[in-house]
Amino acid sequence: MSHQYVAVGWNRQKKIYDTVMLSCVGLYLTIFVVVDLWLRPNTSPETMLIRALGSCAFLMLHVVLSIGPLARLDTRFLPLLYNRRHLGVTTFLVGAAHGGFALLQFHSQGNVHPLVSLLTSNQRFDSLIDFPFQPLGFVALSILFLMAATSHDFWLTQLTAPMWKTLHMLVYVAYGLLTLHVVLGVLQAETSPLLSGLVLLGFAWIVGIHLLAGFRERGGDRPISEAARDGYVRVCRVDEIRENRAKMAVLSGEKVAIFRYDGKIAAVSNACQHQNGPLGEGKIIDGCITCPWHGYQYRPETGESPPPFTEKVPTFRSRVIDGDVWVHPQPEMKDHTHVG
Amino acid sequence: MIRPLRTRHRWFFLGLLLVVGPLMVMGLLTRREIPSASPRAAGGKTGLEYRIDRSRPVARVHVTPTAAVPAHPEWSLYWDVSGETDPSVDPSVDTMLFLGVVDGESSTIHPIPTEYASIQGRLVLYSLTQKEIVETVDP
Repeated sequence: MSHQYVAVGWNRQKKIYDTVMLSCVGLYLTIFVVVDLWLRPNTSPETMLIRALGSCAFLMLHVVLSIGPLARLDTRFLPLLYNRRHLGVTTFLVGAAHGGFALLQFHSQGNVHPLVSLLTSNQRFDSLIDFPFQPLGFVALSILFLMAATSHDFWLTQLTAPMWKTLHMLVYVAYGLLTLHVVLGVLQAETSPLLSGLVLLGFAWIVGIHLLAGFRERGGDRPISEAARDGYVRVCRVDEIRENRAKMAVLSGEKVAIFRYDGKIAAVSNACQHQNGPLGEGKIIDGCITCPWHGYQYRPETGESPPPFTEKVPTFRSRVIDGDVWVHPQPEMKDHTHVG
Repeated sequence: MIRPLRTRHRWFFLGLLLVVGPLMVMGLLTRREIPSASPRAAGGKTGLEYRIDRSRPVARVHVTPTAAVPAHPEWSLYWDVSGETDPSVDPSVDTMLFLGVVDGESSTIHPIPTEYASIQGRLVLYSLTQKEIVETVDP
């Protein structure tokens, strides 16, 4: 890893975020153990830990997966997005503890390797309710490990944002596998309608908000159909853009954010160089376009981050004619237009 | 760059809804019935029939379900050598000979070790879940 990278770039927000997160995890585990001891006093400590950690990790994964679409649907959830990676890594660690205890309890006493036992002891692939649910959890945990291991900005830079995001979309595969791990595992024995209802509700919630956010964005993904004049495409009226804010438009297949600031117009690519966050949903702070996800900044005139940072987003030529904003769909290095 | 990812994201969640959703519902609807109380507490009827076959060199116990019996993967069959088991006095099976597992769904055969086969013992069905003797049978 380069000397430019540190394990965690701590700041006050991250410390608060992690303190709240770890407190919630501790509180959940404590409440689970107390309630379980009250309801089932004969439960062994190992079983109690397996259930407490497993349910905690599953709940945390729901929270992790809710943050993205919630932030897209309502900007008040954006602060939760800021340190989501720590939440994801913690989810993996809690899930790994669950898996470790389960491996110890159910697969360590035989004469074959525990992992071999985990993967081969049940081969009822022809039955839904007898399906080997433990390997499903193992594969999901392996995916979460891969994501936790590559969660650092070092890997984000090495892989590039689109590749990194594609890789991290595997979390949805992990979620599907974990849902089946729960339904075909613990819910086969725990027949309480409350538990089944909560798992179904959780699944409906996650799928529902992702589809809602996705289809809402699809409307904004439609390219502008107006004819070009001198290569420029009319995007909107100047007064449709609030000061220090942007309006987004799809040009040449990608979204462009057109900012209005200090009596000028500047158009830049909507994708932040960090995690491809939506720059057009951010605002201009201290003269710089500021990404709403993690605060990465770019000068609107050049698309370059202020020194000492070196990131750069593509810019687009723009001009204002009779109060209409026209943008050239092909990216260029530098341009800014006076509103007049 | 980003739009294809968003399109893939939408398709993925549609797939998740259409594949995992029905599997979840089917998995929940086809669950096996788990008995909430022991058969002994419910009147002691397990629906199992026991027969000892001593015609072979190694005596064997045949256990056959005679009625629809819910699955009981935790049922174990023991051979009480003393033949004097009384669950109301001593509910443990620590001193008995373990013969095998009886799942209640299908017929099972359990050999009795030769040195104990000639003894006029008693069959004992034990529930690991309930930690109690479900029934005793004098063959």
